[in-house]
Amino acid sequence: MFESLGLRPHTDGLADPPPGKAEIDFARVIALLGLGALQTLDADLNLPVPPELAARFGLIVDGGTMEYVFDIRQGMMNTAAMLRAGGRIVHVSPVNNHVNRGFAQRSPTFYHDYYVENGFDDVRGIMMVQPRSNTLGRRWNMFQYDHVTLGGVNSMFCSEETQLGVYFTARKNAASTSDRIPVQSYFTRVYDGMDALPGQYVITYEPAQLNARQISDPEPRSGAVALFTPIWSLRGDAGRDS
Amino acid sequence: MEHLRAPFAGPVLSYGKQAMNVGYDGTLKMLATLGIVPHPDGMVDPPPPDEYIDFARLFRLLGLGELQTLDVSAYEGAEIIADLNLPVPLELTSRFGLIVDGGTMEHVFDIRQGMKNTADMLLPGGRAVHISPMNNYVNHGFVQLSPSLYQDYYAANGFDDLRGIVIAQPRAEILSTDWNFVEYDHTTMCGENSIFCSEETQMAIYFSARKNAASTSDRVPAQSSRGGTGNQFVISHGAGQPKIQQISEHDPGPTVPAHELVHVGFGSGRELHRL
Repeated sequence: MFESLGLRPHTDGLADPPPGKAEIDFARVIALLGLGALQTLDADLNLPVPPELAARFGLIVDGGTMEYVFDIRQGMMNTAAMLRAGGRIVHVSPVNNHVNRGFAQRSPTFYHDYYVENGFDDVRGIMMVQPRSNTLGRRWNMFQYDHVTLGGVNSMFCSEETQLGVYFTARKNAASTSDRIPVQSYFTRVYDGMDALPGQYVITYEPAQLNARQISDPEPRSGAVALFTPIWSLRGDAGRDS
Repeated sequence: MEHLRAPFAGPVLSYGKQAMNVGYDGTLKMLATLGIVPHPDGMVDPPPPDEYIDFARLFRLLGLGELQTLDVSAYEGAEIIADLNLPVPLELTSRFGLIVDGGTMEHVFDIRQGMKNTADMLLPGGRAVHISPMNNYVNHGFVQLSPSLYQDYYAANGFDDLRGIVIAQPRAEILSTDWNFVEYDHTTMCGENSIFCSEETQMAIYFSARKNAASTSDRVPAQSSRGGTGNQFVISHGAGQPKIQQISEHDPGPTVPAHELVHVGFGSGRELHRL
């Protein structure tokens, strides 16, 4: 994967390599990327984290935790507070056809609106289209989440064979806050008399391609379908091609 | 159906002004099908037959008295103005026999506070009713609520009579055609990724729970089902097809037929069928 991306693995990550077929843990990925030693948090994100953790991290990775945190607001505040100015948050969360995986499936507008409201930069989402069966053994398709087209209500539907996840990232700056509560941006737009972000698509998993069928009428914006050009395809079987 | 199973009592609070997707005549027919005698309070000044009726009239027809509405702004004429992201004023504590959240909680960023406010405003013996988007409602609210959120919160806080119903709706013409109501059985359906639907179906969850004198509101639950049972179901809208279909590799047992509850056609006839 590193080779195909043109990334040079850091020597820290090459020490004591694990067996070739074994799945590697986050700590080794971080070491291979030259980001130093990973720390893992298992404090209760429902409660305020200790003040000594404030502004400590350059990267926080939520690879499937936030959906189990009942106090969503406190969990988000903790995450934002633990980042340094310039640091980035990465969430990977279930979006659709993941019922009861966590208390609530995240819609992309949740992350978008919180990070915009709190003045973060480089707010960016990538949708992950996953097969329901043998999810980890088959290729996933990914496309960029464009909030202008897809930020409206009920914008993405999937078949019973398709699951959706979202990768979402944002960068804190010196002026970023963590405690501001967003209003859903769709409603802000509507109250302000702006267009209602009308895009609606059915997204169906297929191994070889991304299948996004527009069902909104009229087309939300000229050329919007081009957004669904897969930007990435990740195969999770033994070859681990990317 | 739920009023027949366990009658609701007032005073009633609704989050936001809400309307039924059924007119006055259709509502009377539905009450007749269910064997509920409409209360005369609800029959004063009847609206035009084809106009959707609002919650205020529905609850008058059920004999539950005058509805109050809570909203974040005065825009739609709510009696109580409050932001559910913040603690509600103390004078609203233990005031209501029924609180209906017909599509609000998914827009509340601080869900913990929203749930606590709801529990606090109920009288002991009072019931909370949530009807929330559950699946194929991406970006409808900040989140789609899974049944386990309501199940685990109300169980952790000692509520009684926890009950969920999955509502399977057609994506196209959602207000006009066939909805199916399928009982949410936490024992068989609590697992992760337990319920799926096709691109033609959207799912909402109805969830209700009753407060008692010992209930709390501030306990934060851990998810009871983490890891889960491995059971997986596809639930569909429409009269013609199986309403619930098991797709997991192992057989979850003989409980499945009990899930099938009722089919409602909101089409021209506005019919309600018992299954």
